[in-house]
Amino acid sequence: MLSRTAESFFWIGRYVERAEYIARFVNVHYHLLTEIATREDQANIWTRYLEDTGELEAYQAIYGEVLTRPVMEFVTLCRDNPNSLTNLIACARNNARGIQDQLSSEVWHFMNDFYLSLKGKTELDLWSDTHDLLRHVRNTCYTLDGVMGGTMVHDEGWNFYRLGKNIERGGRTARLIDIPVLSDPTTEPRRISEYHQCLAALKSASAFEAYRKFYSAQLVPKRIVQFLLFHNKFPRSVRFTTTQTSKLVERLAGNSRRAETRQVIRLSGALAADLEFGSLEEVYSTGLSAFLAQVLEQLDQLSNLVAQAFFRTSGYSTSSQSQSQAV
Amino acid sequence: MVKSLFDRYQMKSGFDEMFESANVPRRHYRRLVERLRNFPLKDLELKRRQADQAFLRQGITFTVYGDSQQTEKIFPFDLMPRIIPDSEWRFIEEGIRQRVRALNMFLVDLYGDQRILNEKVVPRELIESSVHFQKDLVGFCPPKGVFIHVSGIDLVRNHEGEYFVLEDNLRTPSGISYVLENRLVMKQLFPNLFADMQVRPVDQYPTQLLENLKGLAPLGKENPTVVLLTPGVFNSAYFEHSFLSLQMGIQMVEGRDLVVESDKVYMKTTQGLEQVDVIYRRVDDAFLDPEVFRKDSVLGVPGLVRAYRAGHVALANGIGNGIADDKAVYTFVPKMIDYYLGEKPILHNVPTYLCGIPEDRKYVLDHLGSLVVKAVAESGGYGMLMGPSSTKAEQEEFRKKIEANPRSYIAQPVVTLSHHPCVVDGEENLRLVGRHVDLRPFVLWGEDITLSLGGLTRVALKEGSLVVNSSQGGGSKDTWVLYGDE
Repeated sequence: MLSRTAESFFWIGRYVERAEYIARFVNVHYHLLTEIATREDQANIWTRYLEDTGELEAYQAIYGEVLTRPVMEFVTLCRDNPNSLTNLIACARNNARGIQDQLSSEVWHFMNDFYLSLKGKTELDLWSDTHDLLRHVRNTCYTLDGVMGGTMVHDEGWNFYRLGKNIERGGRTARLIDIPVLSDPTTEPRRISEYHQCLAALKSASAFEAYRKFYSAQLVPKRIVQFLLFHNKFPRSVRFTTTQTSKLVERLAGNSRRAETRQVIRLSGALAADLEFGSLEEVYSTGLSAFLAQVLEQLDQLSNLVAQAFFRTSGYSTSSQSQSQAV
Repeated sequence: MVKSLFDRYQMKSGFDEMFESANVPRRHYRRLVERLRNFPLKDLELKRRQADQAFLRQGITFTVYGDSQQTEKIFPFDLMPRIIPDSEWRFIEEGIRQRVRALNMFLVDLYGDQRILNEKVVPRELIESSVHFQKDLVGFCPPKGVFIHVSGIDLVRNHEGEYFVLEDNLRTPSGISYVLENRLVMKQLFPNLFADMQVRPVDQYPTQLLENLKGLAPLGKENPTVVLLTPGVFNSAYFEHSFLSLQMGIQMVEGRDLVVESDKVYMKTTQGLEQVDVIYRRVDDAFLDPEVFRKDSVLGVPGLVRAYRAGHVALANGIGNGIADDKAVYTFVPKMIDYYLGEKPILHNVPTYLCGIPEDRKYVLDHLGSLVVKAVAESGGYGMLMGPSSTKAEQEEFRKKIEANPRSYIAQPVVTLSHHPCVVDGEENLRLVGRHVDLRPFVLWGEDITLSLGGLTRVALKEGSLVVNSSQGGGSKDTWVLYGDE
């Protein structure tokens, strides 16, 4: 497979997964916030979110004060935000367009439809039916995964797509857990807003129902962290994604002995092992936030190593003009 | 009571493709008119919407240049098919085969002994002053002496219905994807219409192209790797590139995916380098290889020309074809046909004035208001002056351009192109109006010279407009070649 093709598959996976998380996150928080939280609580949550994703400065440059409505416009429709839903889907679609000859026509048509459905959306559409728009994005992301899986050959391209998806997913779930209310294992949520933050973290990972089946409805920070970080069967837990990532990397590397490939295998294997054998005690002795920062850093590094190993044939980097993708 | 689509159709002066006289269809259109006469207008409207939707959804779009938003537009599709009877098509085929054969001999000669220049049949100065003449390649003959593997010859009909060649496209002609997609969409929308209409299929084109490309592989290669080289997603014909790759089942690559080592071309894959044997390139000469042509090109592959000359990779089309479809050289094609084949041209040229020749230039400058002036180096309907519809200011602008650079311009009398009924929006219902059309058959050169059955019929959808290019508001329609004459 062409390196460029592989790279596009990888980024389609990442962009679509990112859009899905953002759509879910915004929908969940908008729902909770409008009902209950105070203005300050609202601002705190959005500020933390924008800091987490590294977008706070970009936001402030355009909109100034952190308020619910402008933040939602920024993360969903804003043209100048490369990570807005419309831009993410446009990027995924442009990558698909560049490898149209490698996709099933079902995937391409679906992708193109998705893009067209968002292209003309304005703030008016967002505020006339917010849930509908966000649900549309989230559900279409789910469906796209099905169309990919159901109509494409499960070969290299498919595996690169899933690799991108899993790396993105792991990072997104890790960011969801990194909130103050979860960082102390001894507390239980007392204030109503704390309770809602726990709920929102689970729901943003589409994990509330799964969690409830496992631990009953009681929201205990320790258990939430355990579930989202270490659960071995829930597909959005960090552990689940790192295990998948490691398997995918091994499959993609095949018998290659190239140093770059070996390095990817080593790092993805180490990360998977860390989460497979990690424990809550360890996490809390390191500090939740510090632990998650390490995980995120390793995922970043992994993404870079994947690019070196598979997207640029070594020794030809001078002639390679591999497009730099927004991370 | 809504009448039939045809009742209110008004014929204009000039040649009407469908009707002999008011309400009397030509013989080869009779069945179609019969079938559509009672077709409810509401249904037709629905069909038209479905067609537009189908094109947009599939991303069958082209990019408009000079538009900062990089807008993607669909190429408007007209529902009313154009029909060519068998005997007429045979005539076109014969004429085009003759023409392409002569043009290819011309290229072999130019990049070889240059007999035609030495014998002063074509002025040497005309050739050597052209940017499309690749001097460095003189002395190089491509495999089997074929330069023109894929071409598109633009035909128009005058007021008497006589076919003329308007332009030869011998570099990277596009449009075949529309031919195939238009047919597909028509068959989806009007399945019953095809049942008894005796329409010849168009879909063997990709198979034929692939077979021809494989035949170009350097000797001894059993399963050659064939790729299509595209300039990338921002190219206006990108849809076509991916469409043809998919249809032929070959890899589509961009310049950055290829690398040349020891005069061999490789593509960069996740598993390392893989050799490429044949490149169907849709990148112009100028951008093909920064070592030889434009240094600033990032679309090409450094070293590609070396590999080509060493015989390690085949290119379709060959390099340097631009000299033969230059709008000034066009004037000499009838002479080429006589010179190389000793035949009379079957298809004629539109009379053309070369501004590089003093008498012609004087005539052109005196008649700017009634001629069509075209820049020799431009294509796609850019850089032209439509005399009759131009303003004085535009004429003066072209006068200056011509005087500054006469070699770069030609002029032709305005040909009253034939028109074809097209379905457009009316005040209440759809209505049928005459719009100018041309025809671009696609020509493949392998063991034999084969033509796409029919080709692309382009329509100038703006009322009165004579420019059919997609970039200038043109559209297209399905083109049917019949098994017989009715």
